Amino acid sequence: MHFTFARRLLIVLVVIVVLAVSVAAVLSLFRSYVLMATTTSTRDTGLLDWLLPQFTADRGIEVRYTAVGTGQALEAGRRGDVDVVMVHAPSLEAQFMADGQGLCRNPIMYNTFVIVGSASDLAGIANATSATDAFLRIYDNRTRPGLAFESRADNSGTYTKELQLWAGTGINASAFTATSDPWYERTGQGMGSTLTIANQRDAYTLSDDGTWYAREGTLPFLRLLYSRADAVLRNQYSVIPVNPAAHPSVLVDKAVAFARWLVGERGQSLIANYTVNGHRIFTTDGAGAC
Amino acid sequence: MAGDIVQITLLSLLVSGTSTLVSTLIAVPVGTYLGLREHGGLRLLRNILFTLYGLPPVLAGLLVLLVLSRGGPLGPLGLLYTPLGMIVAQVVIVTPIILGVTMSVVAATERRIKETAFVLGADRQQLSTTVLRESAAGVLTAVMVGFGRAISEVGAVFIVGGHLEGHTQVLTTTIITDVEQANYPHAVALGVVLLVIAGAVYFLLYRLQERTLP
Repeated sequence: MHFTFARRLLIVLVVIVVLAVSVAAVLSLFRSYVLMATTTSTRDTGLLDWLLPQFTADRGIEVRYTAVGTGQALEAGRRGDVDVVMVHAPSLEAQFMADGQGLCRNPIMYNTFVIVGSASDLAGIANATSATDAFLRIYDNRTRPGLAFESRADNSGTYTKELQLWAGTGINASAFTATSDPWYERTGQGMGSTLTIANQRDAYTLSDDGTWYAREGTLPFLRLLYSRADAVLRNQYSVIPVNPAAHPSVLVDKAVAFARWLVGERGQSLIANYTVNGHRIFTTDGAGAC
Repeated sequence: MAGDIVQITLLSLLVSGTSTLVSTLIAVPVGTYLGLREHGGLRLLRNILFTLYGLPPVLAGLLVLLVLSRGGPLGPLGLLYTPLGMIVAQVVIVTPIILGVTMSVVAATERRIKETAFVLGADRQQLSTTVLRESAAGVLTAVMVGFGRAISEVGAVFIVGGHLEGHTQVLTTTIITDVEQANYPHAVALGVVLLVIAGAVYFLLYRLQERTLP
Protein backbone atom coordinates (compact mmCIF):
# COMPACT_ATOMS: atom_id res chain seq x y z
CA MET A 1 0.00 0.00 0.00
CA HIS A 2 2.87 2.28 0.95
CA PHE A 3 4.49 1.60 -2.42
CA THR A 4 1.36 1.87 -4.59
CA PHE A 5 0.30 5.14 -3.01
CA ALA A 6 3.68 6.76 -3.58
CA ARG A 7 3.78 5.39 -7.12
CA ARG A 8 0.32 6.71 -7.94
CA LEU A 9 1.30 10.10 -6.58
CA LEU A 10 4.45 10.13 -8.65
CA ILE A 11 2.53 9.25 -11.81
CA VAL A 12 0.03 12.05 -11.24
CA LEU A 13 2.79 14.58 -10.69
CA VAL A 14 4.77 13.46 -13.73
CA VAL A 15 1.67 13.60 -15.94
CA ILE A 16 0.86 17.15 -14.74
CA VAL A 17 4.39 18.40 -15.31
CA VAL A 18 4.73 16.75 -18.73
CA LEU A 19 1.34 18.11 -19.83
CA ALA A 20 2.08 21.63 -18.66
CA VAL A 21 5.53 21.69 -20.22
CA SER A 22 4.38 20.35 -23.57
CA VAL A 23 1.42 22.69 -23.76
CA ALA A 24 3.69 25.61 -22.94
CA ALA A 25 6.33 24.55 -25.45
CA VAL A 26 3.76 24.16 -28.21
CA LEU A 27 2.17 27.51 -27.37
CA SER A 28 5.48 29.36 -27.34
CA LEU A 29 6.51 27.86 -30.70
CA PHE A 30 3.41 29.34 -32.24
CA ARG A 31 3.53 32.74 -30.57
CA SER A 32 2.58 35.04 -33.41
CA TYR A 33 2.04 38.30 -31.57
CA VAL A 34 4.67 40.89 -30.83
CA LEU A 35 5.34 41.57 -27.15
CA MET A 36 6.14 45.17 -26.30
CA ALA A 37 7.18 46.82 -23.06
CA THR A 38 6.29 50.48 -22.97
CA THR A 39 5.79 53.34 -20.57
CA THR A 40 2.65 54.16 -18.65
CA SER A 41 2.20 57.46 -20.51
CA THR A 42 1.59 55.77 -23.89
CA ARG A 43 -1.14 53.71 -22.23
CA ASP A 44 -2.60 56.42 -19.99
CA THR A 45 -2.97 58.88 -22.88
CA GLY A 46 -4.89 56.22 -24.82
CA LEU A 47 -2.39 56.41 -27.69
CA LEU A 48 -1.75 52.66 -27.85
CA ASP A 49 -5.43 51.76 -27.93
CA TRP A 50 -5.69 54.14 -30.89
CA LEU A 51 -2.59 52.97 -32.79
CA LEU A 52 -2.31 49.24 -32.24
CA PRO A 53 -5.62 48.14 -33.82
CA GLN A 54 -4.73 50.19 -36.92
CA PHE A 55 -1.31 48.56 -37.15
CA THR A 56 -2.91 45.13 -36.81
CA ALA A 57 -5.41 46.03 -39.53
CA ASP A 58 -2.61 47.24 -41.83
CA ARG A 59 -0.05 44.51 -41.32
CA GLY A 60 -1.93 41.61 -39.76
CA ILE A 61 0.44 41.60 -36.77
CA GLU A 62 -0.94 41.71 -33.25
CA VAL A 63 0.97 43.69 -30.61
CA ARG A 64 0.48 43.02 -26.90
CA TYR A 65 1.98 45.40 -24.41
CA THR A 66 2.85 45.73 -20.77
CA ALA A 67 2.96 49.34 -19.55
CA VAL A 68 5.67 50.05 -16.98
CA GLY A 69 8.28 52.76 -16.39
CA THR A 70 10.96 53.26 -19.04
CA GLY A 71 13.67 51.74 -16.82
CA GLN A 72 11.57 48.64 -16.21
CA ALA A 73 10.62 48.41 -19.91
CA LEU A 74 14.28 48.46 -20.94
CA GLU A 75 14.99 45.86 -18.26
CA ALA A 76 12.36 43.57 -19.82
CA GLY A 77 14.22 44.09 -23.11
CA ARG A 78 17.55 43.24 -21.46
CA ARG A 79 16.06 40.01 -20.18
CA GLY A 80 14.81 39.25 -23.70
CA ASP A 81 11.25 38.98 -22.42
CA VAL A 82 9.83 41.38 -25.02
CA ASP A 83 10.43 41.88 -28.74
CA VAL A 84 10.32 45.64 -28.79
CA VAL A 85 10.34 48.59 -26.38
CA MET A 86 8.73 52.02 -26.79
CA VAL A 87 10.25 54.39 -24.26
CA HIS A 88 11.18 57.98 -23.47
CA ALA A 89 14.55 58.39 -21.79
CA PRO A 90 17.24 59.09 -24.41
CA SER A 91 20.13 58.64 -21.95
CA LEU A 92 18.88 55.22 -20.79
CA GLU A 93 18.17 54.27 -24.42
CA ALA A 94 21.72 55.21 -25.45
CA GLN A 95 23.06 52.89 -22.75
CA PHE A 96 20.69 50.14 -23.93
CA MET A 97 21.99 50.52 -27.49
CA ALA A 98 25.62 50.70 -26.37
CA ASP A 99 25.15 47.43 -24.50
CA GLY A 100 24.09 45.74 -27.73
CA GLN A 101 20.56 45.13 -26.42
CA GLY A 102 18.76 47.12 -29.10
CA LEU A 103 18.82 46.40 -32.82
CA CYS A 104 18.12 49.97 -33.90
CA ARG A 105 16.35 53.03 -32.55
CA ASN A 106 13.62 54.99 -34.33
CA PRO A 107 12.61 58.34 -32.85
CA ILE A 108 8.80 58.56 -33.16
CA MET A 109 7.41 61.70 -31.57
CA TYR A 110 7.73 64.03 -28.64
CA ASN A 111 5.58 65.93 -26.24
CA THR A 112 6.48 68.30 -23.44
CA PHE A 113 7.16 67.95 -19.76
CA VAL A 114 5.15 70.30 -17.59
CA ILE A 115 5.20 71.19 -13.92
CA VAL A 116 1.88 71.00 -12.14
CA GLY A 117 0.99 71.95 -8.60
CA SER A 118 -1.72 73.25 -6.33
CA ALA A 119 -3.54 76.48 -7.21
CA SER A 120 -1.89 78.22 -4.23
CA ASP A 121 1.54 77.79 -5.93
CA LEU A 122 3.54 78.43 -2.73
CA ALA A 123 6.81 78.69 -4.66
CA GLY A 124 5.45 80.97 -7.34
CA ILE A 125 6.62 78.85 -10.24
CA ALA A 126 3.93 80.24 -12.53
CA ASN A 127 6.24 83.26 -12.88
CA ALA A 128 9.40 81.20 -13.37
CA THR A 129 11.61 82.15 -16.30
CA SER A 130 12.75 78.60 -17.03
CA ALA A 131 12.19 75.05 -15.83
CA THR A 132 15.44 75.26 -13.87
CA ASP A 133 14.25 78.49 -12.27
CA ALA A 134 10.96 76.80 -11.36
CA PHE A 135 12.80 73.95 -9.64
CA LEU A 136 15.04 76.45 -7.81
CA ARG A 137 11.96 78.33 -6.60
CA ILE A 138 10.49 75.09 -5.25
CA TYR A 139 13.77 74.30 -3.49
CA ASP A 140 14.12 77.80 -2.03
CA ASN A 141 10.60 77.63 -0.61
CA ARG A 142 10.94 74.06 0.65
CA THR A 143 10.54 74.97 4.30
CA ARG A 144 7.23 76.75 3.73
CA PRO A 145 4.49 74.82 5.52
CA GLY A 146 2.44 72.76 3.09
CA LEU A 147 4.96 72.74 0.27
CA ALA A 148 5.63 69.29 -1.13
CA PHE A 149 7.08 67.81 -4.30
CA GLU A 150 6.13 64.33 -5.49
CA SER A 151 8.93 62.50 -7.26
CA ARG A 152 8.29 59.40 -9.38
CA ALA A 153 11.55 57.88 -8.13
CA ASP A 154 10.91 54.85 -10.33
CA ASN A 155 13.67 54.91 -12.95
CA SER A 156 11.14 56.10 -15.52
CA GLY A 157 11.72 58.57 -18.35
CA THR A 158 9.97 61.29 -16.36
CA TYR A 159 12.11 60.62 -13.29
CA THR A 160 15.26 60.67 -15.42
CA LYS A 161 14.19 64.09 -16.69
CA GLU A 162 13.40 65.28 -13.16
CA LEU A 163 16.89 64.37 -11.95
CA GLN A 164 18.36 66.13 -14.99
CA LEU A 165 16.39 69.29 -14.12
CA TRP A 166 17.56 69.17 -10.48
CA ALA A 167 21.12 68.67 -11.71
CA GLY A 168 20.69 71.83 -13.82
CA THR A 169 20.06 73.79 -10.61
CA GLY A 170 23.17 72.36 -8.99
CA ILE A 171 21.10 70.38 -6.48
CA ASN A 172 21.63 66.66 -6.07
CA ALA A 173 18.08 65.38 -5.57
CA SER A 174 19.32 61.81 -5.07
CA ALA A 175 20.80 62.96 -1.77
CA PHE A 176 17.41 64.03 -0.35
CA THR A 177 16.25 61.70 2.38
CA ALA A 178 12.84 61.40 3.97
CA THR A 179 14.23 62.88 7.20
CA SER A 180 16.48 65.63 5.80
CA ASP A 181 13.98 66.76 3.15
CA PRO A 182 10.49 65.69 4.15
CA TRP A 183 8.99 68.02 1.50
CA TYR A 184 10.49 65.79 -1.22
CA GLU A 185 8.29 62.69 -1.40
CA ARG A 186 9.16 59.66 -3.51
CA THR A 187 6.11 57.75 -4.73
CA GLY A 188 7.90 54.99 -6.64
CA GLN A 189 4.78 54.72 -8.80
CA GLY A 190 3.57 55.57 -12.31
CA MET A 191 2.59 59.01 -13.60
CA GLY A 192 -1.13 58.47 -12.99
CA SER A 193 -0.70 57.45 -9.36
CA THR A 194 1.83 60.20 -8.74
CA LEU A 195 -0.57 62.83 -10.12
CA THR A 196 -3.32 61.44 -7.88
CA ILE A 197 -1.04 61.72 -4.84
CA ALA A 198 0.06 65.26 -5.79
CA ASN A 199 -3.61 66.22 -6.15
CA GLN A 200 -4.39 64.95 -2.66
CA ARG A 201 -1.34 66.55 -1.06
CA ASP A 202 -1.36 69.94 -2.88
CA ALA A 203 2.09 69.04 -4.14
CA TYR A 204 4.18 69.92 -7.17
CA THR A 205 5.18 67.24 -9.63
CA LEU A 206 6.71 66.85 -13.06
CA SER A 207 4.43 65.27 -15.66
CA ASP A 208 4.32 64.82 -19.40
CA ASP A 209 1.59 67.02 -20.85
CA GLY A 210 -0.16 64.07 -22.54
CA THR A 211 -0.86 62.28 -19.27
CA TRP A 212 -1.79 65.62 -17.68
CA TYR A 213 -4.40 66.41 -20.34
CA ALA A 214 -5.78 62.87 -20.12
CA ARG A 215 -6.07 63.13 -16.33
CA GLU A 216 -6.75 66.83 -15.79
CA GLY A 217 -10.48 66.36 -15.22
CA THR A 218 -9.83 64.04 -12.26
CA LEU A 219 -7.33 66.37 -10.55
CA PRO A 220 -9.41 69.28 -9.24
CA PHE A 221 -6.73 70.64 -6.88
CA LEU A 222 -3.91 70.75 -9.42
CA ARG A 223 -3.10 73.42 -12.00
CA LEU A 224 -0.81 73.48 -14.99
CA LEU A 225 1.76 75.93 -13.60
CA TYR A 226 4.74 75.74 -15.90
CA SER A 227 4.24 74.72 -19.51
CA ARG A 228 6.67 76.03 -22.10
CA ALA A 229 8.41 74.49 -25.03
CA ASP A 230 11.92 74.82 -23.49
CA ALA A 231 14.33 72.51 -25.29
CA VAL A 232 15.14 70.83 -21.98
CA LEU A 233 11.48 69.92 -21.45
CA ARG A 234 11.18 68.03 -24.71
CA ASN A 235 10.00 64.48 -24.06
CA GLN A 236 11.29 62.30 -26.86
CA TYR A 237 9.74 58.86 -27.49
CA SER A 238 11.53 56.13 -29.42
CA VAL A 239 10.91 52.56 -30.47
CA ILE A 240 13.68 49.97 -30.24
CA PRO A 241 13.38 46.37 -31.47
CA VAL A 242 15.34 44.06 -29.16
CA ASN A 243 18.57 42.76 -30.70
CA PRO A 244 18.20 39.12 -31.84
CA ALA A 245 21.97 38.72 -31.56
CA ALA A 246 21.57 39.10 -27.79
CA HIS A 247 18.19 37.34 -27.54
CA PRO A 248 17.63 34.81 -30.35
CA SER A 249 14.02 34.07 -29.43
CA VAL A 250 12.66 37.57 -30.16
CA LEU A 251 10.34 38.02 -33.15
CA VAL A 252 12.65 40.48 -34.83
CA ASP A 253 10.95 40.77 -38.23
CA LYS A 254 7.59 41.68 -36.74
CA ALA A 255 9.18 44.03 -34.23
CA VAL A 256 11.04 45.84 -37.02
CA ALA A 257 7.85 45.98 -39.10
CA PHE A 258 6.17 47.71 -36.16
CA ALA A 259 9.06 50.14 -35.65
CA ARG A 260 8.98 51.04 -39.36
CA TRP A 261 5.21 51.43 -39.46
CA LEU A 262 5.30 53.85 -36.50
CA VAL A 263 7.67 56.21 -38.29
CA GLY A 264 6.10 55.67 -41.72
CA GLU A 265 3.53 57.97 -43.27
CA ARG A 266 0.55 56.11 -41.83
CA GLY A 267 1.80 55.79 -38.25
CA GLN A 268 3.02 59.37 -38.13
CA SER A 269 -0.23 60.86 -39.40
CA LEU A 270 -2.25 58.80 -36.91
CA ILE A 271 -0.04 60.02 -34.07
CA ALA A 272 -0.09 63.66 -35.24
CA ASN A 273 -3.89 63.66 -35.38
CA TYR A 274 -4.38 61.98 -32.02
CA THR A 275 -6.14 64.19 -29.51
CA VAL A 276 -6.86 63.86 -25.81
CA ASN A 277 -9.74 65.97 -24.51
CA GLY A 278 -9.29 68.32 -27.45
CA HIS A 279 -5.49 68.65 -27.16
CA ARG A 280 -3.11 67.38 -29.81
CA ILE A 281 -0.44 65.99 -27.54
CA PHE A 282 2.27 64.49 -29.73
CA THR A 283 4.46 66.21 -32.30
CA THR A 284 5.85 63.69 -34.75
CA ASP A 285 9.54 63.57 -35.63
CA GLY A 286 9.76 60.02 -36.90
CA ALA A 287 13.03 58.97 -38.44
CA GLY A 288 13.86 55.55 -39.82
CA ALA A 289 17.04 53.98 -38.47
CA CYS A 290 15.46 50.52 -38.51
CA MET B 1 -17.20 48.39 -20.87
CA ALA B 2 -19.50 45.58 -19.75
CA GLY B 3 -17.86 43.34 -22.34
CA ASP B 4 -14.39 43.86 -20.96
CA ILE B 5 -15.61 43.20 -17.41
CA VAL B 6 -16.96 39.84 -18.54
CA GLN B 7 -13.69 38.99 -20.28
CA ILE B 8 -11.57 40.05 -17.30
CA THR B 9 -13.79 38.11 -14.92
CA LEU B 10 -13.63 34.96 -17.05
CA LEU B 11 -9.84 35.14 -17.25
CA SER B 12 -9.64 35.61 -13.46
CA LEU B 13 -11.83 32.56 -12.94
CA LEU B 14 -9.85 30.56 -15.50
CA VAL B 15 -6.44 31.41 -14.03
CA SER B 16 -7.41 31.00 -10.37
CA GLY B 17 -9.64 27.98 -11.06
CA THR B 18 -6.96 26.15 -13.01
CA SER B 19 -4.24 26.96 -10.52
CA THR B 20 -6.45 25.77 -7.66
CA LEU B 21 -7.19 22.56 -9.58
CA VAL B 22 -3.52 21.86 -10.28
CA SER B 23 -2.59 22.73 -6.69
CA THR B 24 -5.31 20.37 -5.46
CA LEU B 25 -3.99 17.52 -7.60
CA ILE B 26 -0.53 18.06 -6.14
CA ALA B 27 -1.35 19.04 -2.57
CA VAL B 28 -4.16 16.67 -1.58
CA PRO B 29 -2.29 13.39 -2.30
CA VAL B 30 0.99 14.71 -0.87
CA GLY B 31 -0.77 16.29 2.12
CA THR B 32 -2.69 13.10 2.84
CA TYR B 33 0.48 11.02 2.63
CA LEU B 34 2.41 13.33 4.93
CA GLY B 35 -0.52 13.65 7.32
CA LEU B 36 -0.66 9.88 7.77
CA ARG B 37 3.06 9.26 8.36
CA GLU B 38 5.04 9.97 11.48
CA HIS B 39 8.75 9.33 10.66
CA GLY B 40 11.31 11.92 11.75
CA GLY B 41 12.41 12.87 8.22
CA LEU B 42 8.87 13.52 7.15
CA ARG B 43 8.31 15.74 10.16
CA LEU B 44 11.11 18.02 8.95
CA LEU B 45 9.60 18.12 5.46
CA ARG B 46 6.24 18.90 7.01
CA ASN B 47 7.72 21.81 8.94
CA ILE B 48 9.25 23.20 5.77
CA LEU B 49 5.95 22.91 3.91
CA PHE B 50 4.10 24.63 6.74
CA THR B 51 6.60 27.49 6.55
CA LEU B 52 5.82 27.91 2.84
CA TYR B 53 2.20 28.44 3.90
CA GLY B 54 3.35 31.98 4.72
CA LEU B 55 5.00 32.59 1.33
CA PRO B 56 4.11 36.18 0.40
CA PRO B 57 2.40 36.19 -3.04
CA VAL B 58 4.54 39.06 -4.27
CA LEU B 59 7.71 37.08 -3.46
CA ALA B 60 6.28 34.06 -5.27
CA GLY B 61 5.67 36.36 -8.25
CA LEU B 62 9.25 37.61 -8.19
CA LEU B 63 10.68 34.07 -8.02
CA VAL B 64 8.43 32.82 -10.81
CA LEU B 65 9.37 35.88 -12.92
CA LEU B 66 13.06 35.05 -12.56
CA VAL B 67 12.44 31.39 -13.42
CA LEU B 68 10.15 32.05 -16.41
CA SER B 69 12.09 35.00 -17.82
CA ARG B 70 13.74 34.15 -21.15
CA GLY B 71 17.15 34.19 -19.49
CA GLY B 72 15.87 32.01 -16.63
CA PRO B 73 15.84 28.21 -16.30
CA LEU B 74 12.38 27.79 -17.85
CA GLY B 75 12.75 30.76 -20.21
CA PRO B 76 12.58 28.73 -23.45
CA LEU B 77 8.97 27.78 -22.61
CA GLY B 78 7.89 31.38 -23.25
CA LEU B 79 5.49 31.41 -20.31
CA LEU B 80 6.14 34.94 -19.06
CA TYR B 81 3.28 37.38 -19.75
CA THR B 82 0.87 34.52 -20.54
CA PRO B 83 -2.12 33.16 -18.57
CA LEU B 84 -0.22 29.86 -18.22
CA GLY B 85 2.63 31.69 -16.50
CA MET B 86 0.14 33.30 -14.12
CA ILE B 87 -1.22 29.85 -13.34
CA VAL B 88 2.30 28.65 -12.50
CA ALA B 89 2.74 31.59 -10.10
CA GLN B 90 -0.58 30.92 -8.39
CA VAL B 91 0.17 27.20 -8.11
CA VAL B 92 3.29 28.16 -6.16
CA ILE B 93 1.13 30.26 -3.82
CA VAL B 94 -1.88 27.97 -3.47
CA THR B 95 -0.20 24.56 -3.20
CA PRO B 96 1.37 25.20 0.24
CA ILE B 97 -1.99 26.47 1.54
CA ILE B 98 -3.94 23.39 0.47
CA LEU B 99 -1.06 21.18 1.51
CA GLY B 100 -0.81 22.70 4.97
CA VAL B 101 -4.51 22.49 5.74
CA THR B 102 -4.79 18.96 4.30
CA MET B 103 -1.87 17.71 6.41
CA SER B 104 -3.36 19.15 9.58
CA VAL B 105 -6.83 17.82 8.92
CA VAL B 106 -5.65 14.34 7.98
CA ALA B 107 -3.24 14.11 10.92
CA ALA B 108 -5.93 15.24 13.36
CA THR B 109 -8.50 12.81 11.95
CA GLU B 110 -6.03 9.95 12.05
CA ARG B 111 -5.21 10.64 15.69
CA ARG B 112 -8.91 10.82 16.50
CA ILE B 113 -10.03 7.53 14.95
CA LYS B 114 -6.85 5.42 14.90
CA GLU B 115 -7.40 3.46 18.11
CA THR B 116 -11.10 2.95 17.53
CA ALA B 117 -10.37 1.67 14.03
CA PHE B 118 -7.72 -0.81 15.22
CA VAL B 119 -9.92 -1.98 18.08
CA LEU B 120 -12.64 -2.63 15.52
CA GLY B 121 -10.14 -4.75 13.57
CA ALA B 122 -9.19 -2.40 10.72
CA ASP B 123 -5.82 -2.84 8.96
CA ARG B 124 -3.67 0.10 7.84
CA GLN B 125 -5.25 0.23 4.39
CA GLN B 126 -8.75 0.41 5.88
CA LEU B 127 -7.64 3.00 8.38
CA SER B 128 -6.26 5.20 5.58
CA THR B 129 -9.48 4.93 3.59
CA THR B 130 -11.57 5.83 6.63
CA VAL B 131 -9.33 8.76 7.52
CA LEU B 132 -9.64 10.08 3.98
CA ARG B 133 -13.40 9.84 4.01
CA GLU B 134 -13.60 11.52 7.42
CA SER B 135 -11.27 14.30 6.24
CA ALA B 136 -13.20 15.14 3.07
CA ALA B 137 -14.88 18.25 4.46
CA GLY B 138 -11.60 19.58 5.79
CA VAL B 139 -9.84 18.98 2.50
CA LEU B 140 -12.63 20.75 0.64
CA THR B 141 -12.16 23.68 3.02
CA ALA B 142 -8.49 23.71 2.11
CA VAL B 143 -9.29 23.84 -1.59
CA MET B 144 -11.75 26.70 -1.18
CA VAL B 145 -9.40 28.71 1.00
CA GLY B 146 -6.78 28.20 -1.71
CA PHE B 147 -9.12 29.47 -4.41
CA GLY B 148 -10.14 32.45 -2.29
CA ARG B 149 -6.47 33.37 -1.91
CA ALA B 150 -5.78 32.92 -5.63
CA ILE B 151 -8.68 35.01 -6.95
CA SER B 152 -7.93 37.94 -4.64
CA GLU B 153 -4.15 37.83 -5.10
CA VAL B 154 -2.60 40.71 -7.04
CA GLY B 155 1.19 40.87 -6.69
CA ALA B 156 2.18 37.65 -8.42
CA VAL B 157 -0.24 37.87 -11.35
CA PHE B 158 0.82 41.47 -11.93
CA ILE B 159 4.53 40.64 -12.03
CA VAL B 160 4.27 37.43 -14.02
CA GLY B 161 1.29 38.34 -16.21
CA GLY B 162 2.42 41.88 -16.97
CA HIS B 163 -1.23 42.99 -17.18
CA LEU B 164 -1.33 42.83 -21.00
CA GLU B 165 -4.54 44.54 -21.97
CA GLY B 166 -7.15 42.00 -23.02
CA HIS B 167 -4.78 39.07 -22.48
CA THR B 168 -3.40 38.84 -18.97
CA GLN B 169 -5.43 41.44 -17.13
CA VAL B 170 -7.43 40.03 -14.26
CA LEU B 171 -9.82 41.61 -11.78
CA THR B 172 -7.22 42.55 -9.19
CA THR B 173 -4.60 43.97 -11.58
CA THR B 174 -7.22 45.95 -13.48
CA ILE B 175 -8.42 47.54 -10.26
CA ILE B 176 -4.85 48.70 -9.63
CA THR B 177 -4.42 50.24 -13.10
CA ASP B 178 -7.93 51.73 -12.99
CA VAL B 179 -6.98 53.51 -9.78
CA GLU B 180 -3.73 54.68 -11.41
CA GLN B 181 -5.82 56.28 -14.14
CA ALA B 182 -8.52 57.52 -11.74
CA ASN B 183 -11.10 55.36 -13.52
CA TYR B 184 -12.95 54.80 -10.24
CA PRO B 185 -16.38 53.65 -11.52
CA HIS B 186 -14.75 50.83 -13.51
CA ALA B 187 -12.58 49.89 -10.53
CA VAL B 188 -15.60 49.76 -8.23
CA ALA B 189 -17.52 47.59 -10.72
CA LEU B 190 -14.64 45.11 -10.85
CA GLY B 191 -14.35 45.25 -7.07
CA VAL B 192 -17.98 44.27 -6.72
CA VAL B 193 -17.47 41.30 -9.07
CA LEU B 194 -14.41 40.25 -7.07
CA LEU B 195 -16.30 40.55 -3.80
CA VAL B 196 -19.18 38.48 -5.16
CA ILE B 197 -16.83 35.70 -6.32
CA ALA B 198 -14.70 35.62 -3.17
CA GLY B 199 -17.80 36.06 -1.01
CA ALA B 200 -19.60 33.18 -2.74
CA VAL B 201 -16.63 30.89 -2.09
CA TYR B 202 -16.51 31.67 1.60
CA PHE B 203 -20.30 31.56 1.91
CA LEU B 204 -20.29 28.03 0.48
CA LEU B 205 -17.46 27.19 2.82
CA TYR B 206 -19.42 28.42 5.82
CA ARG B 207 -22.51 26.43 4.80
CA LEU B 208 -20.37 23.35 4.35
CA GLN B 209 -18.80 23.70 7.77
CA GLU B 210 -22.17 24.31 9.38
CA ARG B 211 -23.39 21.04 7.96
CA THR B 212 -20.36 18.87 8.72
CA LEU B 213 -18.99 20.21 11.97
CA PRO B 214 -20.69 19.35 15.22
